[in-house]
Amino acid sequence: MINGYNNKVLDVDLNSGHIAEYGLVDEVISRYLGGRGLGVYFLTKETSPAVDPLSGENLLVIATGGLTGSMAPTSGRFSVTFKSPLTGTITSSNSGGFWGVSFKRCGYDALIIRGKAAVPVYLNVSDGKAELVECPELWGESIPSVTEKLKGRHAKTAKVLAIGPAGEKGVLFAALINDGTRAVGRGGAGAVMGFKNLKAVVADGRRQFLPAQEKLYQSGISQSNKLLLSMPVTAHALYELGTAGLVKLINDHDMLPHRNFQDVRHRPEDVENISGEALREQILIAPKPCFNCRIACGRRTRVGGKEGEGPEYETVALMGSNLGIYDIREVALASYACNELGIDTISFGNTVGLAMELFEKGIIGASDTGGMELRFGTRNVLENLVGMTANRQGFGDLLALGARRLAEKFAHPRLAMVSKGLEFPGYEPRATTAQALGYATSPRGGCHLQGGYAVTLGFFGGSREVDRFLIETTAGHVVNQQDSGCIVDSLGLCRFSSYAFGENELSRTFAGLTGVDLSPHDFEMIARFIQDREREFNNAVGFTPSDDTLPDRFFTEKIEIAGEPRCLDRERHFAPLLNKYYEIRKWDKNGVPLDHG
Amino acid sequence: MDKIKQEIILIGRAMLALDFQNSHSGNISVRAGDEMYITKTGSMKGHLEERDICKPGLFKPEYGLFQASSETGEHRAVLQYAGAMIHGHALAVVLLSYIVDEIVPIDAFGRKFLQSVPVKEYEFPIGSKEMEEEIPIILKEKPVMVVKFHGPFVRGATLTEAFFNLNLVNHSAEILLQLDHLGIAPAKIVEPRFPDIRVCYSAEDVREVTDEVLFQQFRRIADDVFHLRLSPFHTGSLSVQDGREMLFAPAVSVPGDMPFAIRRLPINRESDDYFENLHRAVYRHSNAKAALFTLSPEAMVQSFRSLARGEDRIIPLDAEGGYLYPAVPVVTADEDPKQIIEKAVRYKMVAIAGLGVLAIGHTPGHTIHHNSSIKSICYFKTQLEMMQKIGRIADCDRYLCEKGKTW
Repeated sequence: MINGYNNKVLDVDLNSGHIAEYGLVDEVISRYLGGRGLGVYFLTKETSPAVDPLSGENLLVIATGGLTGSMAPTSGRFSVTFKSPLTGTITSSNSGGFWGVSFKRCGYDALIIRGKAAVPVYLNVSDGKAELVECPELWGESIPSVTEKLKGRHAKTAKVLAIGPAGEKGVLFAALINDGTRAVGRGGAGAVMGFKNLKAVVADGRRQFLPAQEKLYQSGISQSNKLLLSMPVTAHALYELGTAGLVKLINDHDMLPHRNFQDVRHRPEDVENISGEALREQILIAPKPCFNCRIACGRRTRVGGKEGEGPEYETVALMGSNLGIYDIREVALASYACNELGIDTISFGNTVGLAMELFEKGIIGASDTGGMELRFGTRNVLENLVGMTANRQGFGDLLALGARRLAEKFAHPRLAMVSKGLEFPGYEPRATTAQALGYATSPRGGCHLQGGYAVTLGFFGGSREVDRFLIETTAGHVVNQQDSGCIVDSLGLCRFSSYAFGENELSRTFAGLTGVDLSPHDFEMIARFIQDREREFNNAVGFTPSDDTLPDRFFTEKIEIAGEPRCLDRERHFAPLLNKYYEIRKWDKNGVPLDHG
Repeated sequence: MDKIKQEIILIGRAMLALDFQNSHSGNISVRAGDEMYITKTGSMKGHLEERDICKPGLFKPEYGLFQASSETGEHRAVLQYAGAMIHGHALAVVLLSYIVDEIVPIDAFGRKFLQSVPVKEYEFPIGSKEMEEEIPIILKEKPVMVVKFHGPFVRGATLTEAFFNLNLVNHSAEILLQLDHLGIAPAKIVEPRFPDIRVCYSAEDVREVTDEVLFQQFRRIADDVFHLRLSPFHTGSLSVQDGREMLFAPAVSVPGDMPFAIRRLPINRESDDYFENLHRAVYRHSNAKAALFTLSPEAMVQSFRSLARGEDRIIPLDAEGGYLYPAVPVVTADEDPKQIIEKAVRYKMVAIAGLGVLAIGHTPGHTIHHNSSIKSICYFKTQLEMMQKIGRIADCDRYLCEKGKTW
């Protein structure tokens, strides 16, 4: 038994309705920590890589982190791990808010959901008990509605993780939404849950955890908090401007996508209109923090008579600048709709960007789009497109497939801005070598976070800053970033914490809570181990080194970046970079981990 | 490039040259109208680039806040009433902050421009809320304050002035620290009467000289004075006689890439500037063709030590010093300028206690040879005395240049 954990897993078989509990052995905890790591452990142990993502055999593993619910700053996160219906990769997505903490306080470290219910159900978990409840009446309800109803049915303190119509209808990038607005966005966990006929998981826990070594625990937390308060990003910038505050900074670095990543040219006044500053002035009600978070990057906003949360930077980049829509209000309304219907804003915005490029190039026409003129910059269609996609109506039924499938359907697969089928977020890879490699090697596909959020090395690195056009040695930096991110994901913290504190502080806090002394080096080894298991899963699915790449556009189309026409050089730069990445990870030239743990 | 960014880049480079912070620490900010510029957190101050300077917003938050220094809060509050602010980790100041709660300079420049410097202790002395609230209040009254065990925060109407203040506090702290190590309490020193001194800041080059070769010669000397730390930034003065006029650099400690001024002044017409007049006196009362006045802390310490012990000269302990300068007289600033110059003529240079060292010679190069030598002479004297105190050397006087006692 390890202190700070429940040492218990809840296992729900939706086929039979059977709910089981079993213990979690110490060795698994010290090897996988929790969150993403624990998800990887259960998914790789209990499913075949060949499993159809939209089948009863696919699992949803919902796991809290080793520090989730603790006093460690930003410790509100949990992870959901599954085989993605969008990409086919092993995918862990995580979310903040309060649901994960409430679930952990119910007495479980992880929830495994298998099978498929015959009728729509939801799972209600409270202190030490769990039940499945049939709920055909909730099927079709939006996230706010189902959240409200389930809280009313159980307790105001209950936290709800739910899918919206998008998940029910199998939108391949459907999200799970917890606490009304926080998203487990990437990879289509919502579609997996929808397929299983599981509408929601309600958690209402109270359990508290006492640290194994109080002094050590407090010293780790106190140091983390001090660092958090002394770094401008975590102490001020995210609180004042939210993540959308990054819009102008990213644009200054010629990284803000435009026209489905065809270029990065924006007029300054346009960028101003979708900036964090514009959000603050035009629609902000108040910052909104997650559990135990002083950063408070969340934005409670209002547009007209409608209130919601966001938009976040990625949403603004993909649904704003990328589409040529420079209106924070319009982007916010579309973002609210995504949250209400349960859609990942990144994949949605990216896929609409593809559709607009297809339309402008004459590859699709009004007959395909249901009469819509889908050109870049077209106003007042976005919110409507969200609804059509979530409900799979008209052209929305094609958008619901995601960028790769949409591009393939119209025989232009190269126009999909994806890696391994996952749509890129809001950072132009030609403007940052590290992020390009991150997109290519992220286990869940084109993702900034699991790619290591390497883009920030170019401007938030402080004394660790790495030139964004650097080639040599960049692979090592990307590996470090990915490893560090993997630990944060597995401990249940927010990635933003990494701007202020790292493995040294985490090591103290973790040892203080659990009594398990893991050094920063141990954490690194754990991160490598978890990512090796993810890689093995993907290899067994059929992914090869040829999938560790980016769309041709980034290798063949030069665009003006930092005053020069630039694109990535596949042979001279990218291939050696990838080889070096494999070498550092101790993978062979086929991308196969050589160390089997 | 934006002129303000360029100025910050140059100050960053100068700070590194003086070891005012480690490679990545410290921060520099400037106000321009309603805008605020500040260095990026963790940027290399000695190698700043345009992208390392951001605008976090002076009155409301702007996206530069994402990259801005961790001390942006203090800077923003201070820039509400000041033109510039610098925070560094100047070593002598940090060290002195362990043993005092207030720095009271005893040298002329520190006395005049800083008066006294508050030293405050904070529970979390880096970027804390407490500091963010208190530092701007203190700096409203004082040009410099020090956070104990951390470093000085200085402000100025311009960045040049702020950097001057940072130099001064470090200069004054070095003197106090070395005197402390020698066991000489400031109270033991009869305070010399200092003249009314002033500094002039040059925002742009002033060239009242037509010969580019001469201008570049002055610049080289100025750059050496700065990098050899013969004088705090924007202090010291250099002149060359040109008939009835002198070419006069009123602030000679300036790195080669920053604005520099040379003025052409009449020798026979006195002004109200002490240093101008001191240089005039050189040409009136001697055949010297060049004069350089600097104030290295090493020389200041030894001049104070001489005062405290009632001695009238500094006698070198090292071979090179003793060979070139058997003795350097120590005088006080209230001594008759003519006598000061006479001593300088006899001994090549003269230390004016608490104020600086005047060296005279045939060329600017000749004078800086003297000024840099006195720095070394005094460094060895102070360090050897400290070594004697801890028993590493039996008797310093054994190494005294014999000639110097009667020279």
